[in-house]
Amino acid sequence: MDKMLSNKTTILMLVLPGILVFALVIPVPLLLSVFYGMTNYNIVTAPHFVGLSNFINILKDQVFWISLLHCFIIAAGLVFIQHPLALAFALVLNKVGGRAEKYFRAAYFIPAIIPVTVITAMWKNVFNPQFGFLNKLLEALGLGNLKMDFMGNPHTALLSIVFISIWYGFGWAVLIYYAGVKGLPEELFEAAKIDGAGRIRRLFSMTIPLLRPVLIVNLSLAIIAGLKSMTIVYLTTGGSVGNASQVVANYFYKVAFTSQQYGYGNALSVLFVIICMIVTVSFNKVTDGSRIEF
Amino acid sequence: MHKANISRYFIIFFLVVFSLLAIFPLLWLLDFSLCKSGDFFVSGLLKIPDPPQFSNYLDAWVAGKIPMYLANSVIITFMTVALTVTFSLMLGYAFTRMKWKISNLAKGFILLGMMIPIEATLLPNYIIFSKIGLTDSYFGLILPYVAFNLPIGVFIISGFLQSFPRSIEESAVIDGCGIFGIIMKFIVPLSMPALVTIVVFSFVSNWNEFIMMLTFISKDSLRTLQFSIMRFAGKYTSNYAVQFAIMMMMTIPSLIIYLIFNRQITNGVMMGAIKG
Repeated sequence: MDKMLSNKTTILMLVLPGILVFALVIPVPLLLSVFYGMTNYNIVTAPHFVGLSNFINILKDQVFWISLLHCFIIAAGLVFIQHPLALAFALVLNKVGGRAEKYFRAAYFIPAIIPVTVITAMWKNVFNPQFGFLNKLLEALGLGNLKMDFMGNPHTALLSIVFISIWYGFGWAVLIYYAGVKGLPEELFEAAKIDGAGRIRRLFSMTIPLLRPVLIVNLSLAIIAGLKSMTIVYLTTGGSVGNASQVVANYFYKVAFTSQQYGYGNALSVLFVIICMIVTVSFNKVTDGSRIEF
Repeated sequence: MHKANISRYFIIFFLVVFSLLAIFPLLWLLDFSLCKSGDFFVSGLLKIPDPPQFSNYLDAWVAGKIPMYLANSVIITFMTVALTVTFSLMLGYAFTRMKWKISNLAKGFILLGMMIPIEATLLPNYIIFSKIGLTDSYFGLILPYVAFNLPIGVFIISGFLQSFPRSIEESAVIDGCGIFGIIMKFIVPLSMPALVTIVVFSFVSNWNEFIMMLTFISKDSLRTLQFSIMRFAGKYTSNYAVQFAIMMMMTIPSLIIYLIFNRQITNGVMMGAIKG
């Protein structure tokens, strides 16, 4: 049997199709991206090797740094607004029980499964400066002077993006915490209750420490989601005039395909992967390598 | 007992308010998708459609090219899910049950994919795909979709296969089965829960994928359902009722998928099947 399980031909047949597809779509293009990042390629004329000059230019590129800052602002919105709420909901939801629990779980998750093009078109209409729900609501409340073009105004564009990101990802955040809460040992809490530990005490000295692995995984996902924000920006503000709501991925996409600085776009894209990987790896270090475990 | 009841009502109230916040924008869409297009411009937060304009949906079906985009979505998603499950199972089996020297190294190579954001492959893949003629073809989407689903698929199935006893292979060999026989007859039925989770997760992530579709497919006749609203909104900016009806129609398949797979999604998250 050992012979059969170490048969080289069988192993190759099992592994080759998957590895090939994976390698050709992910690692190989990334290496190619590093190469293009060192050229002045513009898709039309042949690429010229320019060494590290693209990467040096990034250091001086204001738009890149602003975009990175915006990514971290979105991440902060997720970490400090979405996640405390999501955790609270997961804990409360766990106490509801029965049909109601199922209904609420579904209600919170529904936005997360709707196509992003619908989500963004919907919010664009809600924020519509003349006829959108939000402005009509402000008017109805007698706050007509607050009416504004929330997405078009560069001062509020990024805020709208943060808001949509929080709303759209809320269901996933709740679900992950909920799965974590469901996995907590019930007996332990019963014992603590009998020993006279109050609700607040149980929350801070039992629930949150026990949820540590889930918290770390979920928060790392939130930071990565902030870094990777692109689609919502692409479909709503496009980064706004003066890049007031620009994010990194949308920026290099625009640089490569709209401004046709494909080489420079790739350099940005390479730096972007490196930043994402540093964040992921440092979070994995915190969890002592026990990646995603409940 | 009395006190417990009050706090329960309070909790329910709080949950109801927030669940309305979560789904209200959709109800607003539904409402105006049934009104006349001009109603959108009139003041009033909501409007009772009188009578409901179901013809908006008929117009949306045609003007939004729903049948064409829907067919593309179904074909692409179906192929992606089938290939993802098959390859994940093959890889997972080779990584956990077969004996070869670089098994761990190869597994690590695939799992590394979980750290790579899709966005970082858009620029190089666009050039590669256009050079080898993959842009504007179903496979130009299916291949990257499968590749990005494989790491999670392998992660889920490997964890599952590891827990099986060696005796499965031992008894199967006595019965005269080869490796592929073992996989089909014993491994597939035993690992059904993991396979279902992989199906659901690759389904959900590909059905809603947008940015690769936009980048690699420029031919309208090959684009997926995600594109329907973009195309319509770009052409008929002020026809709000039909625009909203298209959005509702694009939402319906996702809702159906969710209602079917609701439990598997929760179970999958519990098994650790998450990627940002």
